[in-house]
Amino acid sequence: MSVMTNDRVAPHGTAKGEPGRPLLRLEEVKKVFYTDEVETHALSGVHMEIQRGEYVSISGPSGCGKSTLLSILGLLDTATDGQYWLDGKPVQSLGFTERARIRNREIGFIFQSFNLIGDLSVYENVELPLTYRGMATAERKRRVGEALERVSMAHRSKHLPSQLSGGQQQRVAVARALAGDPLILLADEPTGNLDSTNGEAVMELLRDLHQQGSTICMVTHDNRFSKYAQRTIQLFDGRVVDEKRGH
Amino acid sequence: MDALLQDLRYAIRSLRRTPGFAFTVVLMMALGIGVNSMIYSVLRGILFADLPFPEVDRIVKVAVFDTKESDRDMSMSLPDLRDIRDQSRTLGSLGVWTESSAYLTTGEEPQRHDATLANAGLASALGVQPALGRWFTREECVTGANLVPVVIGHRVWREQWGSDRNVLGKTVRMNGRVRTIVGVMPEGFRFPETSDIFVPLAMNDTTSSRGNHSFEAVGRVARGATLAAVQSELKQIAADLSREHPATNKDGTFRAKPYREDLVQDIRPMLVLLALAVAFVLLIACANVANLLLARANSRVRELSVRLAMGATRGRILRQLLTESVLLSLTGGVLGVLLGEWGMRLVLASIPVEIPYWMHFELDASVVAAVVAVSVLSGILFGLAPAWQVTSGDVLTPLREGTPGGGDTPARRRMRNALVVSEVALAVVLLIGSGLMVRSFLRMQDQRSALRSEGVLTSTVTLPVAIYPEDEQRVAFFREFRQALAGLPGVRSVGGVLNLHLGRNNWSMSLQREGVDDPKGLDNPVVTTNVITPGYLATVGLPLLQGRDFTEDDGGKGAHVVLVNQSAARKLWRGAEAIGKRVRFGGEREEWATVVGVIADIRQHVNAPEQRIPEILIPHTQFKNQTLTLAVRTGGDPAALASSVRALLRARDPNLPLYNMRTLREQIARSMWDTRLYAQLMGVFSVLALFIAALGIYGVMAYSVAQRTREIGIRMALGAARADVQRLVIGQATRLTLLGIGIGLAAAYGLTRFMAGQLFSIRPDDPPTFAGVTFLLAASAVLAAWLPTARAVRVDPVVALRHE
Repeated sequence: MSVMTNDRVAPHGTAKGEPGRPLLRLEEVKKVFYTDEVETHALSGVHMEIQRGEYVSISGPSGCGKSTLLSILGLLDTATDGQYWLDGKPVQSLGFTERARIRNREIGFIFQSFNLIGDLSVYENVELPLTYRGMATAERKRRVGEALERVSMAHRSKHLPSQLSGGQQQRVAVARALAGDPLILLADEPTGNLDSTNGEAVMELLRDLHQQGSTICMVTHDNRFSKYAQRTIQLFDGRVVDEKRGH
Repeated sequence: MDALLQDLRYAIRSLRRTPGFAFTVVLMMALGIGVNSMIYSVLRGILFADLPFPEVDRIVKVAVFDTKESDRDMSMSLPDLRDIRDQSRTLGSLGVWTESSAYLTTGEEPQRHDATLANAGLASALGVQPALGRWFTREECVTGANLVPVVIGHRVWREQWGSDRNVLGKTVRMNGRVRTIVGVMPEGFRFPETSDIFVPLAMNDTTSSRGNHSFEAVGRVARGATLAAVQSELKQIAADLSREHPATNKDGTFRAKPYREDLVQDIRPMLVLLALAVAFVLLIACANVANLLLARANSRVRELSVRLAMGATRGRILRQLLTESVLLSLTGGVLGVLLGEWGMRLVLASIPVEIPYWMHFELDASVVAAVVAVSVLSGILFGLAPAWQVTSGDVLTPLREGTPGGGDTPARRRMRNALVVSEVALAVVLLIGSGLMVRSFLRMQDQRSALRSEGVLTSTVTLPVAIYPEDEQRVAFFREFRQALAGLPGVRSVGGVLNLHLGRNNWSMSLQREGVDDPKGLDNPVVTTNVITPGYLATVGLPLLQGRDFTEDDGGKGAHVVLVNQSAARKLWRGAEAIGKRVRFGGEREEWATVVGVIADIRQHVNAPEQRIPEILIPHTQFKNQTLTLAVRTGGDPAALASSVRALLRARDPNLPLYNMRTLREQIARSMWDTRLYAQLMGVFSVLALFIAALGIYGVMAYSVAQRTREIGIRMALGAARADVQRLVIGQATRLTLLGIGIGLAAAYGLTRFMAGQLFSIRPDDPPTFAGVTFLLAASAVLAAWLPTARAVRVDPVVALRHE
């Protein structure tokens, strides 16, 4: 049964979320991995805020905790300790289903390896998060069409991912992240699997989206790309060691 | 509904993109479900048959067993049954019967039917009354009664009298005697198995001996009485009779058991064996499906993680996988049910004898539902387990670079390996079980080589006592008919026999050895006995090892003679010269018969145990029974003789039917039909099991090679030769297989002991079978691992190192 939802649809060019407070806030967030005999501190008391409409880059060397931080931000993982507010609401202790609901409605993911589903067409890949909302077909169609238009991939909607280049696949992945009209886009090394030309193109796309009002948080270890962000947070050994404001 | 349709659409598309996987899973399920629906439906049709008798649980089979010899029930004597009928208070009625044949002459040629001689109490013991007319009265069941009534079965009524409701009172010529139809039994009733002609059994026949155990009996437990009370009363009656008639009843006691149990006791062990075999096939198939689903789910970890990252709930993911599993299972289930139905029809069609009336074989809905449920459940369980793992654990890792399609964890690897080991172990047990059955059947078939069965036509003639009342008439008829047959063109020899060798009958008698046994001895030896005419040995090719065959002058007015087989000679005279020794049957008034020859050992009943092999043969002139099977040897095609033999008999006596006309080869093959069928079924099941297990090994090895492509590439980059890679892959398959074989051999050693009773001339721990199966499984495993190995050695290190 399809259900009409009252999703907030922000017009392009505006940042979603309640004005006047940070969209995302972490306080003393820690993450410890326990293996048989070793206790690994991936994050050791991270404080961080991201404002609406902001474009933040998280960088640092391998193993510094970038991806762990991103997975906590995206509610794919939970912190061992600390607090996390998303759009002013505490999300640290939510159950699996509620976290899935927030991932679906408030967060858009862009992965390094695109992670499109090979069996589904471009259209269906972009439609996927919307189907999990129980959104009506007509509304889904409209949203998918818009998202694909925004990344200039509407003409490829019937193709399978395997029929696209890496750059095209990542644009489809961006469209999928956008289609749900999330509060924030989380990008995990979005250019890592692309050559420099395609990498630049994706970064341009993210910049355009930011300029249209999207909030973006990107993990990258490539200094060339972190420059696209307004603010760069430097992680080392699970701590924020530096913050730089860009353009 | 929209979401469900979407799940269904994705499922169909996903399965279409992996046709090999979908086809294999559906095939496994169809095979597992098919053979199980087939066998369990047959099993239900027999073991849980709806017998057409009211309050069937109150019907008990009454039998005698020898407390000293064995625990096996034997037929009863008429005097003993009369005493039980007259003395028992716990049995409301007692039905007594013996099986016979009836030759009905309603048209030109007499038709043979299975018939039952029954007493007046049988109908009430069974609780069944004729649909038309009546059953026999007690007065009709006496020797010399004026009226000779007959009750006919529904089928005979329909086929011979066109369901004429005025059939009662009509007369029919049966076995040369005119009888009056007094009743028609209800539709579906035949008793005890296939008979549909019922004639009165003379219960007052005082000439019948207590030593003549030829009658069967059922009783209906009286209201208020229990089975225990019946047992106790029967025991008391037996004890009294044992005191009164020690010569015949010394070690005998009576007992009752539920009739339903008695009906199925012989076939139950084999059915249970078959049921176990197909359960093994289902288990192997389920393990294989589980393995395939596990491997597939592992390869979809990334896809599932993407869905989770996109906000799919655990329930939604599980539902998606459930849709796929159920789709596969239902497709397999539908195909399995069709396969089961087809298989059952095929099996039933291959049975050459008439199936007892109470067995009804239909694909049973509850059986099918149970089997499908087991398969679907296993599919769902193994399909969903990995999804549960994925949704409970780390979602991000599979989404990152370098984790192709998700990750294979040691726990999942162990699970897959354990499933393969289980498949191999189950296949070993099943293969050994079926190997024993097949070898058992081959041993049985080997007996054929002892006879010269080609070129021989056999057929049976029975001379009704009403037409041929005198012994001499019967002897003369068979002698003259044999001579006439011998005159047919192409005929080389002719002989008659009571029970054709390697058949389904076994007749035993006790005898007295001259100078050894007491004339009234209670422990005189019992040996298998047969009646033959001169020419029988030569016709069927039964080798005469010593002495001479019977001649036309033996018996009758000449000297009485017998032949013995080697085992009988050994058993009766402990290796001393048998020829010249004398024996006699049936008391001091009988003549001594001299052993004039020794023949080779050939079983009378094709499946007789060792102790029944000793046989003594009596010439027809000394034992002038009314039925003989005539064997005719010809130089050409024996079947071509059929019409001449029939014409010859009609010319001599048109009232006599000729039945069971088959070549000797066909006759012997028919005798072995059940053993052959069981061996064939077990063979088919074990081939299926072997195929599925090999497929399982192949699947795991192929998956393992795919997962280890990068590792293999690294090994090759570091200098591993092709042989090293081959050893790596084959070694893994061999370890799993050997472990499975080891477990399987141990289990088989323990389990096959229980099938000893179903084996012929072979031990349940038969070393060649165990060794053969070990070799077969090991070879299959190496073969199954060969393709993935070949793929592994073709790995290009450069490509492999880039492999995701």
